[in-house]
This record gives sequence, C-alpha cells and structure tokens, in this order.
Amino acid sequence: MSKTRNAIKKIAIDRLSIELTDEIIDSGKAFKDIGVDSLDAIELVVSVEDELDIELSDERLDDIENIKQLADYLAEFD
Amino acid sequence: MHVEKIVNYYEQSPEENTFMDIMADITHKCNMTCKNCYIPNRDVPDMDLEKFRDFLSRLDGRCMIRIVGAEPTMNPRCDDYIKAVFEFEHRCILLTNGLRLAHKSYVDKIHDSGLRHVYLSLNGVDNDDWYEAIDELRCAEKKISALRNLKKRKFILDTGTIIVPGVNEDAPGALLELFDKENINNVLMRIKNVGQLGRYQTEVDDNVKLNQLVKLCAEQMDVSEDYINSFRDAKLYGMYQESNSILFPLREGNKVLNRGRWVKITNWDTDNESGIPDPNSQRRGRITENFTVAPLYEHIKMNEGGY
Repeated sequence: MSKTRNAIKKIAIDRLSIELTDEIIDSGKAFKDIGVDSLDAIELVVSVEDELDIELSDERLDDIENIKQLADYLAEFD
Repeated sequence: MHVEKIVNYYEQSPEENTFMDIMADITHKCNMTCKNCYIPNRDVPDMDLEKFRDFLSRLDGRCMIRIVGAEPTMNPRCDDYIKAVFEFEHRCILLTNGLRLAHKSYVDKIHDSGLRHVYLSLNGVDNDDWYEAIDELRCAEKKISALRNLKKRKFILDTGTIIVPGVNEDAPGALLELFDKENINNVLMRIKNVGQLGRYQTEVDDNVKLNQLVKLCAEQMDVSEDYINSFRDAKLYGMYQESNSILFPLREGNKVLNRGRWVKITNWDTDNESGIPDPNSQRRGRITENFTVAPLYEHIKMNEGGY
C-alpha cells in the first residue's frame, strides 16, 4: 500500500471524519460527491503536505477534481 | 437602536440550525481596544464550555464554528473549545488579533488542539502608525511574529483588514508586499470597510463603499476592476457568492480556495434600511446567550452594547 494513499485515508478520517476506502478513491467520484467541499479539500492538501513533508504544485492542483486524481498525483511522491 | 427595522430576526434551536457558519463568542474579554469593534462590552462572562459542548452535540449537520470574541485567546481554555468542535466533528476557524500567537508555544498549543485554520486581523499590515490609528496599539512586530509562527506550522491562513478612509487605503498593496517579504503564498485576504456597529470610527457617509474597495484592490493588486467585478455573481464551489462580498483569486484560473492568494472584498457598511451589513443573510449565525442560533448581524444589532 502506498505511503501517500495511506496518508490521505488517515487524514480524511482524522480531520474530516470521512472514511476513504480504496474503492471510493478509485471510483473517481467528485470531491463533493464524497462529502468533501472546497475547505475540506484544502485542509486535506495542507495536511498531506505537512504529514509527508512535500509541496504540491498549485497549477497541478487546479486540474484536480476528484480524490483519485489527488491520490494519483500524490503517488508521484511515493 | 433601530430594532423595528430588523424584520428578519429569529432564533433556532441547535437541532433546527440552518446556518453554515456559526460564530461562538467564547469570551468578551480583549487585550486590545480597537476603534472598530462590534462587541465592545467587556462585562459579559465567558461562554460556558459544557453548554457549548452540549450545543455542538445537538447541531444538525456539520458546521463551520468560528471561535471568536472579543479576543478568543483571552479565554484561558480556548484550546478546549476548539477540541470540543472537533470532538463533535464540526469544522473550526479561530478569529484572533494574533497578539498571543506571537508566542510560538501558543501556536503549538492551538495546533495540538487540532486547529488548522486561523483568521488573523491585520488592519495595520506591518505599519505601526496604521495600527495606532485604528487599533490603538503599535503591534506590528507582534502581528508579524504571529504570521511567521502560523506559516511555520502550516496553518491555513485568512487575514482581515478594515480599510479606514484617510488612514490605511494603501493596505491592499502593503499586504502583498508583506506577504512577498515573508514568503506567504497561500492566503485569503479579507478586505472590508468599517461596520457601524458597536464602536466604530467612520460614519456611514464617510465610509469607503464597495465599489471603492474594488477600485483600491484593482489599483494595488495588479488586477482590473472588470476582473474583480466578474466574480460578483459567480458561482464558486457550488455556492453563489454572498450578496455583500466578492471572492476572487489573484491568479486567474486558480480554482483552489486558500491556495495561492485570494481576496474577499466585503461590504460591512450599514448603509441600508436595516442598519446592518448583509441583512437577511442565511449563511452566518451566532450563538446567543441562551444557546440558540440567531442570524449574526441581526443578533449583533439587537444586542448592541450588550451581549
């Protein structure tokens, strides 16, 4: 299991009280359809950066519309 | 007081709550004496923590709880109120003047409570003359220390700046210069005019109006007025903008709120029949002394000089 995917799951449950399974992540559902709004999304991003000590590109983030795309982008840091 | 004009006042039990954002005034104490303060009464006791917890437990749905004061860090158990918000699975932002956040240990403490989002008032930006004229305290050094501490702990950062005519009309540009200098690239800058509620230093007729705020931001932030105005009725994140606000990113095409630099211009002027900013807003509520929820501005006006 990838380090970054585990980090997303942990932060989603700890910070947002949202349980993200691999099935949900891989479904490609939009953030809002899994209960993640704009503020949740930025909290997720900031917390992942903090937890993994990485910095994500603003331009790349502009194109991310669902949790799978975020997980795939983060996987580049595994 | 013009209570007869406030036609939309009502209270809801926590179970009936329909507000997305709820202000929790956990203390009325303050360590500043700002000239613009909508709740200048310092005699109200601190909010009861257990009653607050009960309130949170009964709220219908997940809400953004805005921990506010007067100055919320003056409540010695501020972190416990924050922990309670997360315990009941709500969201939380702390609205503060930042004096206590100049101490790294205090920022560590609120970070440990689970908090990740802070609204820091920066009326004077980094200019002590402005702070003295608006907030009666030369506190720029402490504000900048707070900013640095928040950046170190990677907080999501909102800043708030009231534009006072004849004092800090250059603040939008000064904010950008400060953030460049401090390498703060992710921030939501909230720019507003003076609200004539409680204690204030600018009367309605002399206040900077919304269009002037747009002009000041355009001139100083390297965007056009047309660009800013194009966001007036834009639907962002599935929600329409608030009727008295314009939210926009400084970098065109930026879609991630609080990532990069964003600006929210808000009209706090009370130049309308109700004498409150944004009458009939259904977005922001306030916890009343009886632990019900009331519309924020209506409740402030009804209790002006009191709660």
